[in-house]
Amino acid sequence: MNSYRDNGNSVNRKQPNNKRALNTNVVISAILRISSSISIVFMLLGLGLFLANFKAMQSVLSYHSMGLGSALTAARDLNPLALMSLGLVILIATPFLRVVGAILSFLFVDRDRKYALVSMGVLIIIIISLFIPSLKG
Amino acid sequence: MIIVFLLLAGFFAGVFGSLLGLGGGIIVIPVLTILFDLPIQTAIGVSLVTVIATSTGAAIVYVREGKADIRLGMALELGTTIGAIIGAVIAGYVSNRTLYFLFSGLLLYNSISMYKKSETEDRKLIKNVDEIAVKGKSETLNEKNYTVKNLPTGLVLSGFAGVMSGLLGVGGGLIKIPVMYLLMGIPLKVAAATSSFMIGVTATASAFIYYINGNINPVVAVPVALGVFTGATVGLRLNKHISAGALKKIFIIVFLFVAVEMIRKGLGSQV
Repeated sequence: MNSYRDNGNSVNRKQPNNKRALNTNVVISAILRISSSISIVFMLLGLGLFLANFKAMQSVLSYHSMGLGSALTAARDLNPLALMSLGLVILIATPFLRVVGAILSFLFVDRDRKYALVSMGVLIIIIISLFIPSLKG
Repeated sequence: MIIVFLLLAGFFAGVFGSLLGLGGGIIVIPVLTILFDLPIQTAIGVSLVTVIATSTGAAIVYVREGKADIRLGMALELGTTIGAIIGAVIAGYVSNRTLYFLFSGLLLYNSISMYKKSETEDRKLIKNVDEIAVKGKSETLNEKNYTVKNLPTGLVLSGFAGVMSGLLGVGGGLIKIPVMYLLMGIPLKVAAATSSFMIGVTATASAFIYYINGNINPVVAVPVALGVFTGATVGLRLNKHISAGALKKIFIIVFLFVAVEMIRKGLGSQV
């Protein structure tokens, strides 16, 4: 039996604890599954509507990703491109969400501060990356 | 019609990507540039989405089953994400011709390392037996019974894998897996699973940049991504029934052929 499962003080000991490691694993796996499912729904809906309204033989090359703001507004009118863009944004954000989930899970489920900090570092780097395009002008 | 082909392209990238432990980018980019004649910049944006889709699909399984070392993965992601940003920024200043040449170089490297791996895999396994015996390593991957070695060097090399990811839109697994396995002393299966888990985060940093710059074409990326999700699921199931050895040999030849095609495209493209 894993007797120190309920004992939060034993966490800092550097030893593998399957049950505890499994908890963050379960959290991360669940985040990935939920987020990717939502993204797939948006993409399927958007692609379906796009194909249904596909009239002119416009080159597929002429499309660009929509800005998040305009995509959100246009998605309410079931604009196919907006729905597909939102699906893509959610998909791209999925690993980001799992880093956020990892921070919380390391902190509150595993009580592993060191790896919560490591995950925080990864999150900060990803956030910095968001500001680089604007720096490029 | 083109949408159907894109779905199929994604499907095959997903199947073969998960069978061979690749992100799928190395399959998607040549298909989009050579078969669909899309510009390489568009292909890279789509490929980053592909990599995230493959990684997410695989990680759902690997992480839940404890096959991926999430702590090691998180630590190395510090290196890969910084590298990915550097790569994505460099990509904005590099000519298409250079990108084609770099990608050909990557394909050649892939072919060589796949060839070498199938040759030396058995020998390495024998070499590791002593080590395994000492550590009492078993097949239960849930138990972490290996120690991570050379973390600082591993971080730097992961950063290099990140640069490749941001620059060329690939996952960089073919750099990370050998680094973890050979340098850091991680069992091969754990290294491959951890790499699959990691590549999504590496690609997310560059994908955001591509998306904000309007470089991800939803009409191309969405069918490919949907195809990849389906393909990766099929691939994970097929995994048990198909010999990876034969598949690898086919891919070595395909990669060599594609490398030559990409060089030709690079020579023909405007600087």
